[in-house]
Amino acid sequence: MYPICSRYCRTAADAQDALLISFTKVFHNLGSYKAEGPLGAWIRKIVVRTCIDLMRKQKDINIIPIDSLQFQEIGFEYREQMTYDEMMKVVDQMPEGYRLVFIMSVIDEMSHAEIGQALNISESTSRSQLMRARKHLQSKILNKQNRYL
Amino acid sequence: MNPLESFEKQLKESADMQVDHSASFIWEDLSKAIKPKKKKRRILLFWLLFSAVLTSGIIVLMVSDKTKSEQKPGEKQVEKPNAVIHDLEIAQDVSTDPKKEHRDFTPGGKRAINRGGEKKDVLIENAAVIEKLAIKKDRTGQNKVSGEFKTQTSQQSLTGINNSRTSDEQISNFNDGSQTYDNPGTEDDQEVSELASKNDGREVILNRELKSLDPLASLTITPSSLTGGENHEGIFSQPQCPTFREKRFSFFVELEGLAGIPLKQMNSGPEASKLYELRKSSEKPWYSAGAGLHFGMMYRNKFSVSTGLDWLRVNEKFDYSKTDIVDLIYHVDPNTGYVTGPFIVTKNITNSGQIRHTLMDIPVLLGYHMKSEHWNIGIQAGPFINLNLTSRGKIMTATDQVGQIKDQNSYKDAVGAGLQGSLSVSRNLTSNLSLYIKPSFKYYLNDWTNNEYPVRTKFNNASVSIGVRQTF
Repeated sequence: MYPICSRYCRTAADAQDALLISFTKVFHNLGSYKAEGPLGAWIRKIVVRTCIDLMRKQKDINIIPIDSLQFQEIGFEYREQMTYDEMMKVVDQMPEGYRLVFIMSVIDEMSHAEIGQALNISESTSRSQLMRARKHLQSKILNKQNRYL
Repeated sequence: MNPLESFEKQLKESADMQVDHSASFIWEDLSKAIKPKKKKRRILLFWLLFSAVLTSGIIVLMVSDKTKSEQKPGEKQVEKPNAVIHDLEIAQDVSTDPKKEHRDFTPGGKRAINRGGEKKDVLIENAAVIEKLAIKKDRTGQNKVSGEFKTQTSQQSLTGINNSRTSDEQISNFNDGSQTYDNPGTEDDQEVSELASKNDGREVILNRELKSLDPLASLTITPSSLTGGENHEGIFSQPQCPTFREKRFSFFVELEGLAGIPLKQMNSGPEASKLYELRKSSEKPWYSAGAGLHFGMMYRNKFSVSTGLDWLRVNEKFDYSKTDIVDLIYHVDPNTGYVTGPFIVTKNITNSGQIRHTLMDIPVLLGYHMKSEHWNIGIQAGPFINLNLTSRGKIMTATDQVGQIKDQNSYKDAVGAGLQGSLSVSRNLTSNLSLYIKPSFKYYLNDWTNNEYPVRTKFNNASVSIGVRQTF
């Protein structure tokens, strides 16, 4: 479950804290596990929500997609054999709102209803954020342009 | 596949490879080691069994009651004996008093007149008209009347008889002419009445005041004088009213809907004061609604015992707002790449919704009822058991975040026992169907939140029900 924490949290320390809190919650709520789905999926859900709660608590910032801000366009050269860390670096450079929705939807395959519940946004907002994240990512896939921060 | 799709696919595969390095058997062993909660089928099974036993018991009792008595009260018909008087012969040994005359009680009927021992036929021309047979006391002390009589009973005749009856009248109904009975008015009254009551329900109405009757002495009616004919002297006999035996046990079914006000109680220790304040400010009881199906038994239309199933939904409003939230924003110049900031932006958050608690209870109620012709008033009270509590909606967490109730392990799955009482006023629509209104109060003995949860929460409910009751 640590890789899950590391892709939500910005730092390794935050990821470790999130992992510890997640497993505390897992043991605390083990009695309420109803075996309706796999155990791993249940734990995974707790880990994801714990990571999001931790991020909110630390930054004391409501996760509201910041659409109007201008970010430096960071391009990267897309290769077919990119490593996981390289791809995650690209994802991490997206605005916070886009990044979270993208990770939850594409990597963790959560539904927009679940994303909305976890982030306290509506389903339609979740869909629009994912679309914008993909648009943002699309614009970053530059075959020839190399501009790095 | 375009580059973006390829990127996403590659990212997903890489991420999956990062996550699950454990062998699959580890997850299987973990799942087996964790025993999930068994679904509460036992309580449902118990409820089904209980319903089946009660239903079969009701059916058995209803069938046995029906086989005992074929007729319903009020439908009994009292068969009146038919007494026919033919050719009444007046005994010649009757000593007569010419001063006294026989009285005629029926219009159009022939009169039986005693004039010095003269025999007279006493016949009735109109079979619908009932004549009274005046039986005179024999001055010798013997009053003998025997014969077979036919009587006709009708309400009109009753009225006619009652109107025309005087102290001198006597209406008798006697058994077969082979027997002789003493006239009423003597010490043999009791014997006569006893004898008459033995004979297929034929009744004897005796007038004890024979002394003033016409000296027409004993009328001896021999069986030989009885002949068939259309005109018979009808002897009216007052019908004996059937006794109505009150049903001791009756069964009923009630179906009702209710609306009410939930009364919330919350408390916590000092360590959870922050969470308590957060929850108190964000949650407000709103309204409750429900329905109930009860069936029970009534004893002598006064005492009742009932059980059934109650469904209750308690609704709360969730309203959370937080102001002065600080948002840190960094601005990156696209041309130069120069980062400026952070810029502090303050924002307000508002989060609202509903909290719903759904409960299923089984009550066991004892009641006392007072019934009049159209209206009934009753009180019912007793314990109930809560089978299931389901709570859904938003709740504040200890970290000042809005969470979901199901994720916080806050509310129980079942609350336990409670007490309820009600006062009902009902109006009879038909003999077996009534409409009632019933204010009631429900008190839950235990907290609704788990023991580990720091803020203890409980609801009681005051409501008004409207329903119908069908009695069997």
